[in-house]
Amino acid sequence: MKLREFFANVLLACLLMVPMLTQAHTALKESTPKDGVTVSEIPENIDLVFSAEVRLIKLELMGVGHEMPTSFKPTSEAIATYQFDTPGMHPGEFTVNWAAIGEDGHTLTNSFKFVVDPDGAAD
Amino acid sequence: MVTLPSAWELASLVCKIFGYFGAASIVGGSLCLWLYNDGSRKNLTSILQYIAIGTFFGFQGSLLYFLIQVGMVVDKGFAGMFDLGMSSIFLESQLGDATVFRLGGFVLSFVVSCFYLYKLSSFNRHPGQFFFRFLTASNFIAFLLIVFSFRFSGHISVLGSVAKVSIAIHFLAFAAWVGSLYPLYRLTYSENIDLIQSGMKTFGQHAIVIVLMLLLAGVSMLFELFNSFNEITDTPYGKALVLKLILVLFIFVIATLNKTKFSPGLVDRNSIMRLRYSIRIEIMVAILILCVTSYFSTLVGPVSHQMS
Repeated sequence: MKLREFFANVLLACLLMVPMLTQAHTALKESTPKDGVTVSEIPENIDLVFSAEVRLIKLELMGVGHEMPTSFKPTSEAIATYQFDTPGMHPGEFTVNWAAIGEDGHTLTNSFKFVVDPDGAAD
Repeated sequence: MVTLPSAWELASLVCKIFGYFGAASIVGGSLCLWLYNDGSRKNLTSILQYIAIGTFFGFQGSLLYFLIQVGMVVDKGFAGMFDLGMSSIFLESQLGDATVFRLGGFVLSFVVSCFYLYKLSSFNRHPGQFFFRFLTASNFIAFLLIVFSFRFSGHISVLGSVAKVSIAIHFLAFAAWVGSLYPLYRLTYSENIDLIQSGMKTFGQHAIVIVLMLLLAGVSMLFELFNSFNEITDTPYGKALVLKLILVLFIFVIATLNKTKFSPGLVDRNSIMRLRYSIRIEIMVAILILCVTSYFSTLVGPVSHQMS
Protein backbone atom coordinates (compact mmCIF):
# COMPACT_ATOMS: atom_id res chain seq x y z
CA MET A 1 0.00 0.00 0.00
CA LYS A 2 1.41 3.42 -0.91
CA LEU A 3 2.01 5.97 1.82
CA ARG A 4 -0.64 8.27 0.37
CA GLU A 5 -3.26 5.52 0.47
CA PHE A 6 -2.25 4.59 4.01
CA PHE A 7 -2.58 8.18 5.11
CA ALA A 8 -5.96 8.49 3.42
CA ASN A 9 -7.14 5.39 5.30
CA VAL A 10 -5.91 6.83 8.61
CA LEU A 11 -7.75 10.08 7.88
CA LEU A 12 -10.94 8.22 7.02
CA ALA A 13 -10.68 6.16 10.21
CA CYS A 14 -10.27 9.35 12.26
CA LEU A 15 -13.30 10.96 10.63
CA LEU A 16 -15.42 7.84 11.15
CA MET A 17 -14.51 7.75 14.81
CA VAL A 18 -15.71 11.28 15.51
CA PRO A 19 -19.44 10.51 15.92
CA MET A 20 -18.63 7.59 18.22
CA LEU A 21 -16.46 9.77 20.36
CA THR A 22 -18.65 12.82 20.67
CA GLN A 23 -20.00 13.49 24.11
CA ALA A 24 -21.75 16.64 25.06
CA HIS A 25 -20.58 18.57 28.09
CA THR A 26 -23.54 17.63 30.25
CA ALA A 27 -23.74 19.57 33.45
CA LEU A 28 -27.18 19.28 35.04
CA LYS A 29 -27.26 16.79 37.90
CA GLU A 30 -30.98 17.06 38.51
CA SER A 31 -33.91 19.35 37.89
CA THR A 32 -37.35 19.88 39.27
CA PRO A 33 -39.48 19.09 37.36
CA LYS A 34 -37.37 16.28 35.96
CA ASP A 35 -36.74 15.86 32.25
CA GLY A 36 -39.59 14.13 30.43
CA VAL A 37 -42.02 13.88 33.35
CA THR A 38 -45.69 14.73 33.54
CA VAL A 39 -46.67 16.54 36.73
CA SER A 40 -50.21 16.97 38.01
CA GLU A 41 -49.54 20.02 40.15
CA ILE A 42 -48.62 23.34 38.58
CA PRO A 43 -45.01 24.00 39.67
CA GLU A 44 -44.38 27.29 41.43
CA ASN A 45 -40.65 27.19 40.76
CA ILE A 46 -37.94 25.45 38.79
CA ASP A 47 -34.92 23.98 40.54
CA LEU A 48 -31.62 23.24 38.85
CA VAL A 49 -28.83 21.37 40.60
CA PHE A 50 -25.45 21.18 38.91
CA SER A 51 -22.64 18.87 39.93
CA ALA A 52 -20.26 21.80 40.18
CA GLU A 53 -20.53 25.53 40.50
CA VAL A 54 -21.53 27.17 37.25
CA ARG A 55 -22.56 30.63 36.20
CA LEU A 56 -26.06 30.34 34.81
CA ILE A 57 -26.37 32.92 32.05
CA LYS A 58 -29.61 31.91 30.38
CA LEU A 59 -32.85 30.31 31.46
CA GLU A 60 -35.87 30.25 29.18
CA LEU A 61 -39.14 28.62 30.11
CA MET A 62 -40.96 28.04 26.86
CA GLY A 63 -44.57 27.09 26.54
CA VAL A 64 -45.91 26.14 23.14
CA GLY A 65 -45.10 29.19 21.02
CA HIS A 66 -44.51 31.62 23.87
CA GLU A 67 -42.03 32.32 26.65
CA MET A 68 -43.17 32.13 30.27
CA PRO A 69 -41.99 34.64 32.88
CA THR A 70 -39.51 33.53 35.52
CA SER A 71 -37.49 35.27 38.21
CA PHE A 72 -34.22 34.39 36.44
CA LYS A 73 -31.56 37.08 36.11
CA PRO A 74 -27.98 36.36 34.96
CA THR A 75 -25.46 36.77 37.75
CA SER A 76 -21.70 36.96 37.89
CA GLU A 77 -21.57 34.49 40.78
CA ALA A 78 -21.02 30.77 40.20
CA ILE A 79 -23.12 28.43 42.33
CA ALA A 80 -24.34 24.87 42.03
CA THR A 81 -28.02 25.19 42.96
CA TYR A 82 -30.58 27.51 41.41
CA GLN A 83 -34.25 28.09 42.08
CA PHE A 84 -36.50 30.37 40.07
CA ASP A 85 -40.11 31.34 40.55
CA THR A 86 -42.45 30.53 37.71
CA PRO A 87 -45.53 32.75 38.08
CA GLY A 88 -48.36 32.31 35.67
CA MET A 89 -47.75 28.62 34.97
CA HIS A 90 -50.62 26.70 33.41
CA PRO A 91 -51.24 23.20 32.07
CA GLY A 92 -49.35 22.35 28.92
CA GLU A 93 -45.99 21.28 27.51
CA PHE A 94 -42.92 23.22 28.55
CA THR A 95 -39.28 23.33 27.59
CA VAL A 96 -36.56 24.80 29.76
CA ASN A 97 -33.57 26.02 27.75
CA TRP A 98 -30.55 26.86 29.85
CA ALA A 99 -26.95 27.92 29.32
CA ALA A 100 -24.11 28.20 31.78
CA ILE A 101 -20.41 28.85 31.92
CA GLY A 102 -18.54 26.05 33.68
CA GLU A 103 -15.67 26.57 36.07
CA ASP A 104 -13.25 25.79 33.22
CA GLY A 105 -14.77 28.54 31.08
CA HIS A 106 -16.56 26.16 28.71
CA THR A 107 -20.05 27.04 27.57
CA LEU A 108 -22.72 24.52 28.50
CA THR A 109 -26.14 24.50 26.88
CA ASN A 110 -28.95 22.04 27.16
CA SER A 111 -32.69 21.78 27.68
CA PHE A 112 -35.29 19.60 29.29
CA LYS A 113 -39.02 19.17 28.87
CA PHE A 114 -41.93 18.48 31.13
CA VAL A 115 -45.72 18.43 30.93
CA VAL A 116 -48.19 19.93 33.38
CA ASP A 117 -51.41 17.91 33.26
CA PRO A 118 -53.67 18.26 36.31
CA ASP A 119 -56.05 15.63 34.95
CA GLY A 120 -53.45 13.03 34.01
CA ALA A 121 -51.48 10.57 36.15
CA ALA A 122 -48.18 12.04 37.29
CA ASP A 123 -44.90 10.21 36.54
CA MET B 1 -25.01 10.96 26.78
CA VAL B 2 -23.53 10.65 23.28
CA THR B 3 -24.62 13.16 20.66
CA LEU B 4 -23.41 14.52 17.36
CA PRO B 5 -21.84 17.97 17.55
CA SER B 6 -24.04 20.90 16.60
CA ALA B 7 -23.07 23.42 13.93
CA TRP B 8 -22.02 25.80 16.71
CA GLU B 9 -19.77 23.18 18.26
CA LEU B 10 -18.20 22.31 14.91
CA ALA B 11 -17.60 26.00 14.25
CA SER B 12 -15.99 26.29 17.71
CA LEU B 13 -13.74 23.39 16.82
CA VAL B 14 -12.61 25.04 13.57
CA CYS B 15 -11.87 28.27 15.44
CA LYS B 16 -9.76 26.35 17.95
CA ILE B 17 -7.75 24.86 15.08
CA PHE B 18 -7.14 28.36 13.70
CA GLY B 19 -5.97 29.48 17.12
CA TYR B 20 -3.51 26.60 17.44
CA PHE B 21 -2.24 27.24 13.91
CA GLY B 22 -1.73 30.91 14.72
CA ALA B 23 0.25 30.14 17.86
CA ALA B 24 2.34 27.54 16.02
CA SER B 25 3.18 30.02 13.25
CA ILE B 26 4.46 32.52 15.83
CA VAL B 27 6.89 30.13 17.50
CA GLY B 28 7.85 28.02 14.50
CA GLY B 29 8.16 31.00 12.21
CA SER B 30 10.33 32.91 14.68
CA LEU B 31 12.61 29.90 15.16
CA CYS B 32 12.97 29.45 11.43
CA LEU B 33 13.81 33.12 10.91
CA TRP B 34 16.50 32.78 13.52
CA LEU B 35 17.92 29.31 12.80
CA TYR B 36 16.41 27.35 9.90
CA ASN B 37 16.57 29.34 6.69
CA ASP B 38 18.87 29.80 3.72
CA GLY B 39 19.32 33.53 4.32
CA SER B 40 17.75 34.53 1.00
CA ARG B 41 15.26 37.38 0.87
CA LYS B 42 12.76 35.03 -0.79
CA ASN B 43 12.95 32.45 2.01
CA LEU B 44 12.82 35.05 4.77
CA THR B 45 9.86 36.78 3.13
CA SER B 46 7.94 33.53 2.88
CA ILE B 47 8.49 32.86 6.59
CA LEU B 48 7.32 36.36 7.53
CA GLN B 49 4.26 35.91 5.32
CA TYR B 50 3.61 32.59 7.04
CA ILE B 51 3.68 34.26 10.47
CA ALA B 52 1.44 37.09 9.28
CA ILE B 53 -1.11 34.71 7.75
CA GLY B 54 -0.97 32.38 10.76
CA THR B 55 -1.56 35.19 13.24
CA PHE B 56 -4.33 36.59 11.05
CA PHE B 57 -6.12 33.24 11.23
CA GLY B 58 -5.34 32.96 14.93
CA PHE B 59 -6.92 36.35 15.57
CA GLN B 60 -10.00 35.48 13.52
CA GLY B 61 -10.28 32.10 15.23
CA SER B 62 -10.10 33.60 18.73
CA LEU B 63 -12.59 36.36 17.96
CA LEU B 64 -15.02 34.06 16.19
CA TYR B 65 -14.78 31.49 18.97
CA PHE B 66 -15.97 34.16 21.40
CA LEU B 67 -18.80 35.25 19.12
CA ILE B 68 -19.82 31.65 18.48
CA GLN B 69 -20.20 31.03 22.22
CA VAL B 70 -22.49 34.07 22.36
CA GLY B 71 -24.43 32.85 19.34
CA MET B 72 -24.74 29.35 20.75
CA VAL B 73 -26.29 30.63 23.95
CA VAL B 74 -28.58 33.22 22.35
CA ASP B 75 -29.60 30.58 19.79
CA LYS B 76 -31.05 33.03 17.27
CA GLY B 77 -28.84 32.17 14.34
CA PHE B 78 -26.02 34.30 12.96
CA ALA B 79 -27.40 37.57 14.32
CA GLY B 80 -27.36 36.13 17.82
CA MET B 81 -23.56 36.19 17.78
CA PHE B 82 -23.72 39.98 18.08
CA ASP B 83 -26.16 40.15 20.99
CA LEU B 84 -24.73 42.95 23.12
CA GLY B 85 -26.23 41.79 26.40
CA MET B 86 -24.91 38.25 26.16
CA SER B 87 -21.57 39.49 24.78
CA SER B 88 -21.05 41.67 27.83
CA ILE B 89 -21.82 38.71 30.11
CA PHE B 90 -19.24 36.60 28.29
CA LEU B 91 -16.75 39.46 28.29
CA GLU B 92 -16.88 39.46 32.08
CA SER B 93 -16.29 35.71 32.24
CA GLN B 94 -13.16 33.57 32.01
CA LEU B 95 -13.69 33.32 28.27
CA GLY B 96 -13.62 37.09 27.96
CA ASP B 97 -10.30 37.29 29.78
CA ALA B 98 -8.81 34.47 27.70
CA THR B 99 -10.02 36.06 24.47
CA VAL B 100 -8.50 39.44 25.30
CA PHE B 101 -5.11 37.89 25.93
CA ARG B 102 -5.25 35.80 22.76
CA LEU B 103 -6.34 38.70 20.58
CA GLY B 104 -3.62 40.86 22.07
CA GLY B 105 -0.97 38.25 21.31
CA PHE B 106 -2.10 37.71 17.74
CA VAL B 107 -2.41 41.43 17.00
CA LEU B 108 1.08 42.11 18.34
CA SER B 109 2.64 39.37 16.26
CA PHE B 110 0.66 40.26 13.13
CA VAL B 111 1.59 43.95 13.28
CA VAL B 112 5.27 43.26 13.89
CA SER B 113 5.40 40.63 11.12
CA CYS B 114 3.82 43.03 8.63
CA PHE B 115 6.26 45.74 9.72
CA TYR B 116 9.18 43.42 9.06
CA LEU B 117 7.78 42.41 5.68
CA TYR B 118 7.81 46.08 4.75
CA LYS B 119 11.25 46.60 6.27
CA LEU B 120 12.71 43.59 4.45
CA SER B 121 11.32 44.72 1.11
CA SER B 122 13.26 47.97 1.35
CA PHE B 123 16.39 46.49 2.95
CA ASN B 124 19.21 46.43 0.44
CA ARG B 125 21.73 44.48 2.51
CA HIS B 126 21.75 40.81 3.50
CA PRO B 127 19.72 40.66 6.72
CA GLY B 128 21.69 38.88 9.42
CA GLN B 129 20.38 37.00 12.43
CA PHE B 130 20.13 40.17 14.55
CA PHE B 131 17.92 41.85 11.99
CA PHE B 132 14.99 39.96 13.49
CA ARG B 133 15.78 40.46 17.17
CA PHE B 134 12.91 42.86 17.76
CA LEU B 135 10.50 40.52 15.97
CA THR B 136 11.74 37.57 18.00
CA ALA B 137 11.25 39.49 21.25
CA SER B 138 7.79 40.67 20.19
CA ASN B 139 6.73 37.19 19.16
CA PHE B 140 7.99 35.85 22.49
CA ILE B 141 5.74 38.31 24.31
CA ALA B 142 2.87 37.53 21.94
CA PHE B 143 3.21 33.82 22.62
CA LEU B 144 3.38 34.43 26.37
CA LEU B 145 0.09 36.32 26.15
CA ILE B 146 -1.51 33.40 24.31
CA VAL B 147 -0.15 30.81 26.74
CA PHE B 148 -1.29 32.92 29.69
CA SER B 149 -4.83 32.74 28.35
CA PHE B 150 -4.90 29.03 29.30
CA ARG B 151 -4.93 30.23 32.89
CA PHE B 152 -8.48 31.44 32.43
CA SER B 153 -10.12 28.95 30.14
CA GLY B 154 -9.76 25.27 29.34
CA HIS B 155 -9.66 21.96 31.15
CA ILE B 156 -6.27 22.77 32.65
CA SER B 157 -7.40 26.13 34.04
CA VAL B 158 -9.11 24.48 37.00
CA LEU B 159 -6.10 22.34 37.90
CA GLY B 160 -3.01 23.20 39.95
CA SER B 161 0.17 24.96 38.98
CA VAL B 162 1.91 21.74 37.87
CA ALA B 163 -0.73 21.20 35.21
CA LYS B 164 -0.58 24.84 34.13
CA VAL B 165 3.21 24.77 33.78
CA SER B 166 2.99 21.45 31.94
CA ILE B 167 0.56 22.76 29.38
CA ALA B 168 2.69 25.85 28.82
CA ILE B 169 5.74 23.68 28.10
CA HIS B 170 3.71 21.21 26.01
CA PHE B 171 2.16 24.03 24.00
CA LEU B 172 5.54 25.71 23.43
CA ALA B 173 7.11 22.44 22.25
CA PHE B 174 4.16 21.67 19.97
CA ALA B 175 4.25 25.19 18.50
CA ALA B 176 8.01 24.98 17.93
CA TRP B 177 7.79 21.63 16.15
CA VAL B 178 4.56 21.91 14.19
CA GLY B 179 5.05 25.60 13.53
CA SER B 180 8.44 24.95 11.92
CA LEU B 181 7.19 22.35 9.45
CA TYR B 182 5.90 24.68 6.75
CA PRO B 183 9.00 26.94 6.75
CA LEU B 184 11.15 23.80 6.58
CA TYR B 185 9.05 22.60 3.68
CA ARG B 186 9.67 25.95 1.93
CA LEU B 187 13.38 25.59 2.69
CA THR B 188 13.48 22.50 0.46
CA TYR B 189 12.84 24.84 -2.50
CA SER B 190 16.15 26.57 -1.89
CA GLU B 191 18.75 26.44 -4.65
CA ASN B 192 21.53 25.55 -2.22
CA ILE B 193 21.45 21.89 -1.17
CA ASP B 194 24.12 22.47 1.50
CA LEU B 195 21.99 25.13 3.18
CA ILE B 196 18.95 22.86 3.09
CA GLN B 197 20.93 20.09 4.70
CA SER B 198 22.42 22.44 7.26
CA GLY B 199 19.01 23.83 8.21
CA MET B 200 17.46 20.36 8.47
CA LYS B 201 20.39 19.07 10.50
CA THR B 202 20.16 21.97 12.97
CA PHE B 203 16.42 21.46 13.32
CA GLY B 204 16.94 17.73 13.82
CA GLN B 205 19.34 18.38 16.68
CA HIS B 206 16.98 20.84 18.35
CA ALA B 207 14.04 18.54 17.75
CA ILE B 208 15.42 16.11 20.32
CA VAL B 209 14.95 18.74 23.02
CA ILE B 210 11.56 19.74 21.64
CA VAL B 211 10.33 16.14 21.61
CA LEU B 212 11.59 15.55 25.14
CA MET B 213 9.75 18.64 26.39
CA LEU B 214 6.61 17.54 24.54
CA LEU B 215 6.70 14.05 26.00
CA LEU B 216 7.54 14.98 29.60
CA ALA B 217 4.96 17.74 29.74
CA GLY B 218 2.41 15.51 28.03
CA VAL B 219 2.92 12.70 30.53
CA SER B 220 2.62 15.17 33.40
CA MET B 221 -0.70 16.41 32.01
CA LEU B 222 -1.85 12.82 31.62
CA PHE B 223 -1.44 12.24 35.35
CA GLU B 224 -3.23 15.50 36.12
CA LEU B 225 -6.22 14.89 33.87
CA PHE B 226 -6.83 11.17 34.40
CA ASN B 227 -7.43 9.44 37.71
CA SER B 228 -7.19 5.88 36.40
CA PHE B 229 -6.25 3.87 33.32
CA ASN B 230 -9.94 3.00 32.83
CA GLU B 231 -10.70 6.66 32.18
CA ILE B 232 -8.31 6.56 29.23
CA THR B 233 -9.90 3.47 27.69
CA ASP B 234 -13.55 3.95 28.66
CA THR B 235 -14.28 7.64 28.17
CA PRO B 236 -14.57 9.69 24.95
CA TYR B 237 -11.88 12.07 26.23
CA GLY B 238 -9.54 9.16 26.86
CA LYS B 239 -10.27 7.55 23.49
CA ALA B 240 -9.58 10.84 21.74
CA LEU B 241 -6.29 11.04 23.60
CA VAL B 242 -5.42 7.52 22.44
CA LEU B 243 -6.15 8.57 18.86
CA LYS B 244 -3.89 11.59 19.33
CA LEU B 245 -1.11 9.40 20.72
CA ILE B 246 -1.36 7.08 17.70
CA LEU B 247 -1.02 10.09 15.39
CA VAL B 248 1.87 11.43 17.47
CA LEU B 249 3.61 8.07 17.16
CA PHE B 250 3.07 8.24 13.41
CA ILE B 251 4.58 11.73 13.22
CA PHE B 252 7.54 10.61 15.35
CA VAL B 253 8.26 7.88 12.81
CA ILE B 254 8.15 10.37 9.94
CA ALA B 255 10.31 12.86 11.82
CA THR B 256 12.84 10.16 12.66
CA LEU B 257 13.01 9.15 9.00
CA ASN B 258 13.55 12.79 8.03
CA LYS B 259 16.34 13.17 10.55
CA THR B 260 18.15 9.88 10.02
CA LYS B 261 17.53 9.06 6.38
CA PHE B 262 16.17 11.83 4.15
CA SER B 263 18.10 14.86 5.51
CA PRO B 264 21.56 13.23 5.63
CA GLY B 265 20.90 11.73 2.18
CA LEU B 266 20.42 15.07 0.41
CA VAL B 267 22.63 14.87 -2.65
CA ASP B 268 20.46 15.74 -5.62
CA ARG B 269 17.00 17.02 -6.62
CA ASN B 270 15.46 13.53 -6.29
CA SER B 271 16.51 13.23 -2.68
CA ILE B 272 15.17 16.73 -2.03
CA MET B 273 11.85 15.68 -3.56
CA ARG B 274 11.72 12.69 -1.20
CA LEU B 275 12.39 14.93 1.82
CA ARG B 276 9.83 17.46 0.62
CA TYR B 277 7.21 14.72 0.23
CA SER B 278 8.00 13.38 3.69
CA ILE B 279 7.63 16.83 5.26
CA ARG B 280 4.33 17.24 3.43
CA ILE B 281 3.08 14.01 5.03
CA GLU B 282 4.36 15.24 8.40
CA ILE B 283 2.39 18.48 7.95
CA MET B 284 -0.79 16.55 7.13
CA VAL B 285 -0.42 14.35 10.20
CA ALA B 286 0.28 17.48 12.29
CA ILE B 287 -2.99 18.96 11.00
CA LEU B 288 -4.80 15.79 12.06
CA ILE B 289 -3.24 16.05 15.51
CA LEU B 290 -4.41 19.67 15.68
CA CYS B 291 -7.93 18.55 14.76
CA VAL B 292 -8.01 15.82 17.41
CA THR B 293 -6.56 18.15 20.06
CA SER B 294 -9.12 20.82 19.19
CA TYR B 295 -11.82 18.20 19.39
CA PHE B 296 -11.07 17.01 22.88
CA SER B 297 -10.34 20.49 24.17
CA THR B 298 -13.65 21.79 22.82
CA LEU B 299 -16.30 19.09 22.55
CA VAL B 300 -15.47 16.70 25.38
CA GLY B 301 -13.83 16.90 28.76
CA PRO B 302 -12.02 14.69 31.25
CA VAL B 303 -14.11 12.68 33.70
CA SER B 304 -13.22 15.06 36.52
CA HIS B 305 -14.94 17.80 34.52
CA GLN B 306 -18.02 15.77 33.62
CA MET B 307 -20.89 17.19 35.62
CA SER B 308 -23.62 14.58 35.15
